[in-house]
Amino acid sequence: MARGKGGVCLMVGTRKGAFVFTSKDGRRQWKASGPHLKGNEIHHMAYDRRTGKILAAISSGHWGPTIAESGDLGGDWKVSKTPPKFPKGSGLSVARVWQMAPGSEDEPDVLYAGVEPACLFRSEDYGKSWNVNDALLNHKTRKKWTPGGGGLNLHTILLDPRDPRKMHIAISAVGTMYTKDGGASWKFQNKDVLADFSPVKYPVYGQCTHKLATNPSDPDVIFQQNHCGVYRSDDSGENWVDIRNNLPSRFGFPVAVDANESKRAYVAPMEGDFSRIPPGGHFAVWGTDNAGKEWFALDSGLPDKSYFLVLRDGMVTDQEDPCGIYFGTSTGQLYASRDRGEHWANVADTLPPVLSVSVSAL
Amino acid sequence: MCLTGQLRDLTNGAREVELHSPGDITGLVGELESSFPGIGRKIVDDQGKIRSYVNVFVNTENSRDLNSEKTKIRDGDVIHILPSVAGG
Repeated sequence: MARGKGGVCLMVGTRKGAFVFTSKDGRRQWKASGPHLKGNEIHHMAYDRRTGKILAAISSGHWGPTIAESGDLGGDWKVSKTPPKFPKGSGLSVARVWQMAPGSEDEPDVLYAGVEPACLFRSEDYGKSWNVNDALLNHKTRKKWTPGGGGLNLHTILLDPRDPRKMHIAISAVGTMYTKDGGASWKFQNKDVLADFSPVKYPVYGQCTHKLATNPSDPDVIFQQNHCGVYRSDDSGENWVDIRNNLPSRFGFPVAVDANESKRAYVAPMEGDFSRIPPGGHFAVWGTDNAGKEWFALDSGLPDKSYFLVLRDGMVTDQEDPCGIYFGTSTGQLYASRDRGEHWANVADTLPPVLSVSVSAL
Repeated sequence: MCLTGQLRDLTNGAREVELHSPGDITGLVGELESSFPGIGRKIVDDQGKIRSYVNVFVNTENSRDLNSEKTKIRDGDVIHILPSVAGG
C-alpha cells in the first residue's frame, strides 16, 4: 500500500551538495535533481509534511554553517541569514548543524536543530530566530563531555508523537538523554550501555551513541546503534539490552526501524572500530524480525565486494508498505529496496560521498 | 572594501562597498551586517572571531598578523575579505 499517494521523496546530503530523488510509480523509478546548494556539505535534510518544505542543514568550509529550505523539492532554496547561534559569552560557536527536525502537528512553526558542539536549538517562528536550550548549554556535566570521532555533536532528535514535550536526543560521545518537560531538564538514559573505551565500562554518561531509531506507532521501543554494540529499549530508554547476538560486528553507524513492524530493525555493520569497512569486504544490511534476537543479511543486489562506509544518517526507512530502505555510501552510491531489504537496486552510482539520506511520502 | 564573489550574493552583486568609520574589523562586520543581513555570520563565528578559513586584509596585511578583530581601520584603508586557499 502506498501511503505517499503523491509519491516518495528521497533527500541525499553529500559533501558537495544536495540531491533530491522522487518516485511516483511505487518506488520503481527515481527522477533525480541536483546538486543543489552546490559546494556545501549537507549534513541532514528533513521533509516537513506540515509545510511541504525540505529543510537542509548545510555548511561551507569557509563561510560556516546555516540552514536552508526549499518549498519546491529542491528547485529554489532560501538560505537562512539567522541560523542557530550560541549566545555571546558562552565561548561556543556552531561548527555544524547535524540534524533538523520539524516540530509536532500541534506546533506548526516549531523547528529543532541539533548542532556541534552538542546542543539543541528550537525555533518557534519557522527558523527566523532560534533559542538555545539552556538546560543543555548549562548542564552540570557539560565540561566533562568529550567528542567522538565525528566531533561533539547532537545528531539525533526523536520527538515523541504522543507528547511534544517528550524527546530523546543522542550525543557523541555523551550518550542518550531524555526530556519530558519540553527541554527544561534532561536525564541521561544509558543504563547498561557499554563504553569500553572508558575506564568505567558502564558510566552514567559518556557512551558513544551513533544513532537512535524508533517506529512512531510504537515509540517506547527504541533501537540504538552504539560504538560498542547494538541495543534495544522497550521502556522509552529507561533500560537497554544488548542485542548484537549473531551480527558480524557490534560496530556500525545507522539504525532504522521498519514502518510496519516495530520489531523489525535494520543495521549496517562495519568492522570496528578502527578500520570501518564492511566485515570481510562485503557490505550487507542486517535485519531482524524479532527485535534483535536473531539477525540475517539482506544483500541481494548489493556488490560482492565493497569497502565503503555508511554514516550515521546514511540509512533510513520509509513509511510505505512494504517498507522501503535506502542507504548512501562514502563512495557515492545510493541503494534502494522497496521490499524490506529483500532486493536492492542501485539508484545512483557516482554521487559525492554521502553524508545523509532522508525520505518522506509526498 | 572589496568583496569576493561568494559574498556578493548578499550585496546585490556589488564588488566594492564604501564604509564609514567602522573603527575596527568588528565594527566593519557590524556595519556590513546592517547593510547586508546574513553576511556577518559568514565572516565571523558566534563569538565574533574571524572564521578559520576567512582572511580579512587591511591594505595588504592579513589582520591575523595585526590585531585580528581589533585591528584598527583608518580612512582610506582598503579592506579585502577573501577565503583561504584550503587544500590543494
